[in-house]
Amino acid sequence: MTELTALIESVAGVLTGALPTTLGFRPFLDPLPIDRYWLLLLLPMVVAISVVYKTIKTDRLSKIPREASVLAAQIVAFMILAALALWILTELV
Amino acid sequence: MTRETSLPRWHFIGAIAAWLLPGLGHLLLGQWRRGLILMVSIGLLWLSGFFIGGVSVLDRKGHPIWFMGQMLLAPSVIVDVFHRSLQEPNSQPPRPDNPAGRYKPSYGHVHEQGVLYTSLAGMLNLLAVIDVLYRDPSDPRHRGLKSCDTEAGDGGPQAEPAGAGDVA
Repeated sequence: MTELTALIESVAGVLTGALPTTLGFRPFLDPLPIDRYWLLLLLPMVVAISVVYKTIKTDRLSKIPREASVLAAQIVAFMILAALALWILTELV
Repeated sequence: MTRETSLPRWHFIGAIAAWLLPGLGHLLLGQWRRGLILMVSIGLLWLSGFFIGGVSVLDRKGHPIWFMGQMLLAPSVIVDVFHRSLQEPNSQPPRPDNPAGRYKPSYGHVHEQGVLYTSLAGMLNLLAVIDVLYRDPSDPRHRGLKSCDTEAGDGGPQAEPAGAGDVA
């Protein structure tokens, strides 16, 4: 209940400009504490890029799920290949 | 003269609307499903950037090139004004170890991801703006569209031609 009150105060504080300091994380003001998992954030970004690109380019909207999935898989595959090539270049060569 | 060829090729009002809100340009042209998909996907990407990196991902002095990408989406202007209001001289200096600061700036990979998300949202919105700005009547995606510069699109499904979407 205390946390809920603090959360409400946080949102109200953001809206009024008087920001509270009781919470460790204030959404949209403070960064997410996910330094160790930053690489996983690339996946939703790739999906968003694929969906937007195919939404603009494809003629039929019914094709979007399949074409966006294929494009996302291709981007991820090439990112992995590029990472492997760079790893070989830096570690083995 | 067919309806397609009588439509204007350039849609400046739609392009401005697309900059103001992702997908709004397509909505005005009558492509309401395409517009909604763009609105949700670009909007979520943009919001996720601020959720990941905080408001400090907008930094015109720290990374001006990325900032230009972020400004391709009009709501970023509002966030930038809000961010600058948090940096008033009489406010406490924001530091990562200062819990009393008005916000915590992000650093490292989290900051990079936030900047990347918001800038990519802006650049993807630029694609949508260009797609709205110029419509080729011979393109099957653009046939049978309404002209937002001459008449308001009602956003109905009949605005899109058969075979040009809305089949999902």
